[in-house]
This record gives sequence, C-alpha cells and structure tokens, in this order.
Amino acid sequence: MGEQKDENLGTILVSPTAVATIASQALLTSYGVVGMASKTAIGELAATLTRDPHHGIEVHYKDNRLIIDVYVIIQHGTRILSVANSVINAVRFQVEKAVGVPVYQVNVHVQGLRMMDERD
Amino acid sequence: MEREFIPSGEALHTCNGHLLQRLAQAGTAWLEQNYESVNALNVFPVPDGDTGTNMLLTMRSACKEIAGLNDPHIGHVAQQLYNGALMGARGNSGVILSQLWRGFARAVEKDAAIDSEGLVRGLQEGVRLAYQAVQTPVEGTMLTVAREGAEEAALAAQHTHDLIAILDRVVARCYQSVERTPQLLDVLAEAGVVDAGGMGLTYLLEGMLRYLRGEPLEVAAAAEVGALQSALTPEDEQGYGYDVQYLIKGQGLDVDRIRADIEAMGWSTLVVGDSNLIKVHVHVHNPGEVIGYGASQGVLHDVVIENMDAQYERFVQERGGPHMPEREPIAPPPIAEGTIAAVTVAPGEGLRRIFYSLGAGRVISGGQTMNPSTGDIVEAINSLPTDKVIILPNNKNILMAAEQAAQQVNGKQVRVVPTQTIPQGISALLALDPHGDLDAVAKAMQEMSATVQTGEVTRSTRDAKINGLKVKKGQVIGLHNDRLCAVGDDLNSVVVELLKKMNVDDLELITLYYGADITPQEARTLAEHLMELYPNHEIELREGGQAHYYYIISAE
Repeated sequence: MGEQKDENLGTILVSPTAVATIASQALLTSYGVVGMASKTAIGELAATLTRDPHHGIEVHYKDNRLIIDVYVIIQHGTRILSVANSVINAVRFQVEKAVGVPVYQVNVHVQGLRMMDERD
Repeated sequence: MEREFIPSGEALHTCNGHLLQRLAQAGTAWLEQNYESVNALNVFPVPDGDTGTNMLLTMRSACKEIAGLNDPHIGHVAQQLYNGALMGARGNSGVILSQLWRGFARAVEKDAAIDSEGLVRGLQEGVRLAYQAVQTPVEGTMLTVAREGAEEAALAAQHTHDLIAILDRVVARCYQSVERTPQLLDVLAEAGVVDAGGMGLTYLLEGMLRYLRGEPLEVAAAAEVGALQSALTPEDEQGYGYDVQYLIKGQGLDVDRIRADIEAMGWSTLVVGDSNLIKVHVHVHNPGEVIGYGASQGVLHDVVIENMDAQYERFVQERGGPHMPEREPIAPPPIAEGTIAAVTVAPGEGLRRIFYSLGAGRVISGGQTMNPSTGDIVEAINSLPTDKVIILPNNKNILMAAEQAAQQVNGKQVRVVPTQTIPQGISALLALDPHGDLDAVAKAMQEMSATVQTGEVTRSTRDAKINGLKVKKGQVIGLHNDRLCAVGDDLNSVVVELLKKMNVDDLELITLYYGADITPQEARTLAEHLMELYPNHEIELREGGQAHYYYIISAE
C-alpha cells in the first residue's frame, strides 16, 4: 500500500520505496550523518549482501499517516541532538516537497558513532 | 570587552591563547551585529530556525566556555572553544561551525602560540574535519566558503607572516566565495540569495579582523543604543518634521488626485474619504504647503499640526532616560492542581503579558525567528503543578516541537491545539475551561481559534513574486492568514489595504498588537484612522512588543 492522493482523473499512489529514495537523498547530504545502519545485525548483513539502496530507512503508513524511521551513524564529536534535529527537518522537508503529502513523524535512530577521524 | 591596544598598521606575527579568546569574542560580537541579515537569507522554510541565530547561539556557547579563562596557551583555549561550540551547536550551521573549531583545536593543541603557519594549519584542519562529517558534501554552502578561505590563507602565508594581512585576504576571499554560492547551488539562485551559513562564517572572521585593526564592533551596550537610535533616527537630516491632519469638506472631491498630490508633499501619507469628505494625514517639513493645498480644495476642519521632532525628543527622554519606570514583572497566574493549564509561545514582552493576563499557565518566549526547542516546551509543561496541559504553539514552525513535547512528557496528559498565529492562540485561550474535560476543552479551543482572522504586517527581506504580487526587498508587506495580500512602501497604507483584503466588514472587533519598532504614538495615529474607516467596528490597540512584525492584527 502506498500514500494515496485522489485526483479528478484517477488515483495517485506513492509507494514507500519512492518515499525512501527521497529520504535517502536527504540523508546523504545531512551534515553529521556519515552512514546508514540496519535495525538489526541480520538486517545489516542482508543489506551488505544486497547493497540495498534504502538501507537504514523504513517507511510505513499507520492509520493513513506517513512515518519514516531512519537508522544512522553519526560523526563522533558533533552534537548528536542537533544533527538528529536537522535530519528530521531535512527528511520531512524533502519528502513533503517531492511527494506533497504530510509526513507525520520522522524518527531518527542513532545506531552508532564513527570515532575514526584519523589524519590522512 | 577588555581590549588590548594593537597599534594599527603594525604587523602581528603570533597569536596566543589570550588573543584567541578576544578574537572569538570579537567575531561573535560582529556576528551579533549582523545575524539578522544572515537570517534573512534562509531558503528552506524548515523549522530548523534561522541560520544567523543558530550560529550566534553556537558562538555564544563557545565564548561562555572561555569567559573566565586566563590561559595564554592557545591549544587549551581552542579546545575550550570547541567544547563550548559542540555543546551549544544549533542547526546545521552550528554543527559545521563546531567542526571547524574542532579541527582548529586539534591542529594547535600542542602550541602555546601560533604563527602564520599555525593559522593555516588550524584553518585547513578545521575544513578537513568539517568535510569528514557528511557523506556527500554540498558545494555552494558554508563548507565551500570555509575551504576557500583556508586555501587563501595558505596562499597568503607564502608571501607574508603577518596574521592581520593573512586574515584580511581570507575575509576578502570568503566574501567572493559567498557571492559565488548561488552559481554552485541552484536553490540559492532560485531564491535570489547567497548561502546563509557562509555569510555567517564570513562575519565571524571579519569581526576578528576588525578587532585586530582596532575597528569598532559596537558590542553589547553600544549595540543596544545603536538599535534604539537607528529605530529612532529621523528620516532625513531635516528631522522628523510635522504631523499634519485635517478634514476637507467639499463637493466632487477627487480622492485619488488629492492623495497623489499630498503624497508628493510628504511621507506617511493617509488620504481617505469620498467626494464630500476627505481625511488627510501626512508628515511634512513644511506644513504651510499642505494646509494651503487643502484649503484650495475645500473647507478645512479639525486641523492638527504636531511637531514630531519635539515628540521624538520627549520619546527618547522617556524611553532612554535613567528614570525609566520599571514595569511590574510578568507573573504567571497560580495554577491549581488537577485543572487544565495552557502552555503557549509568544514573542515580545507585551504579548507574553497579554497571554498571562488571559490565564496562560506558562508563556515561552519565542516565535518567528527563535523557535523554542522541544526541551523548552517539555520543561514548561513539567513546571506546571497540574497533569493536564494544552499546548498552543502559535506558529507553524513550532507545531512539530509542540507535538514532540506532548509525546515526550511522562505522567501528564498533554494535547496540542495547533494554533498557527498569535491571534489564534489568544482566541483559543479564551475558550480554556480549567475544570472541563481535557479533550472537550481542546476541541472547544480549536473551534474558537478558527473563528479569528489573522493579519500580520512586516518588512520583506528580499525581492520576490508571490501570489501575483511583486515585492521588493525592504517593502512593507501584509499577510492575511499567512498569505501575502498587500504590498507597499507606506506602513499605514499597507495596514489599511490588508484590512480590506481581510474582509473585516462582517466582523466586529479589530485588535492591533503593535511591535517593538512602533512607537505608541504611531500606533495610536493608525488606530484613530482605522476608527474613522471602520466606524461600526470596535478597534483595540495593545502593546505586543514583538520584533520584526510592525503589527499583528486580529479580527473577529
């Protein structure tokens, strides 16, 4: 099932995959986010094997409301709260701009921190 | 700020911890002078808040960390700056700024003082770390400006070891880099702005340069006086002139022609009426000319001429004088346990006072440019001695934080009534029954808030074309329920136009909340005109004290 919009001439369906694609673009340019992660270790393995482009992004509709969960790795030494807030804003803004449906929730799950920032 | 004398024109070859401390403070002070122009560059209507404010708050947090420090070791001071910036980082720009400080601190951690080579190393390491914290760096942003600035420092250091000369070239390059950001990033070009974060960074560096050159930064106390003076500066060197008002009675009066003629004689013109009676209000330097013109058109009545220079002086004395009467502090009303209390958000002291007088439990300071965080709202909810709370965000940018806060509070029932404007919030508050059923009360408040029309009058921060209206930067604009519907150069005319578009004819009460930039006298003059325009309406005037918005208007 996807988000529905009723138009005069028919119905437009936006699939969760499409929403996830937009969300992943927003995450790629989100400052402080250095990677995506899966919810579980098995998921992480599967994602590595399949090279899932929507790795770390889950889109669901609950009571007809759009909820996006993102699982991210954040750069150590940044303020995690600020980075996460910016992620929420960026994902919500980009999805709403592209799809035109309101995003009910964006949940950011910080799955890890990247400590490494070795000198080249 | 304590200031060490640095002879102008002399070269500076090293920088220690003490100097870095003052440079950071100087940069922050200069950012403070300019953050509003940075805010004006915002492109995305995201509730991230404003870039200038975010950067300023981040730098303030950094400066707080080094405030009491008396350490000549630059490595230690830089580390503290980073710690402060990290803890206070707000928004994307703040996080990037903290990474620049982080790299700088790492590069100089073992140095007691740095020379030109150390400066270059610090800037370059800052840029390197800042680029590391994002998967796909976007060019045309603050990152680009920081990188090009650091490149320039390296180039300049090949020719000179004078830190001032190097910083001078860095700032100049940053300005060029900022100018170029729209070429690199389409969203900036579409909006007709340059990158806000890059601009903020440039101001920060420029503040440091100004300090080194002994140029003024107009910090703290001076800034306040400056703001007051600029708000009160006469419109030209001839002073404020005279406020002239009169009625023309006659037959077959041509309102449009008379308005055009009067407009040519002065400013703040308001000419309204019909072919038999016209009300004229205008500010001029030569009242005789306007009076003579009026008398040539018909019979003059109720002529009022006021010397506005004298008014201005009186106003300055009252406002800026040392004996300014202290107003009673704003006190929240007592809230009984078990009753329903409202938490709301409002900019400006006047509006906060109004909300409290209407029974709000907590009023959080905030609004268009300063969005309170979820944490601020949670804190306000928890501070109330009751477990039933209704949040009125009064701004669509705060809605999300309010909803998050409602979810985060444990052990209390919290509802959000999604008011988007101050008038909606005030109307909703009138329907608050502290002893009712929480959901029923929330519903009643929601319905009540829908009955009010909101008008807002502010100044456009950039050129734009919206709803078929062309707006130039600096023009006065009127918004009806967030929709642009009136544009003009004269404040009062825009208010009149806005009220027309708001269709207030069928309504009864118009309330004007005047902002911090409006004097009580100006507001009264406008209210009097509105009384004449809308003789069957009740017109109320309240001090709102909000920044940026000259007037917030509610009509119901």
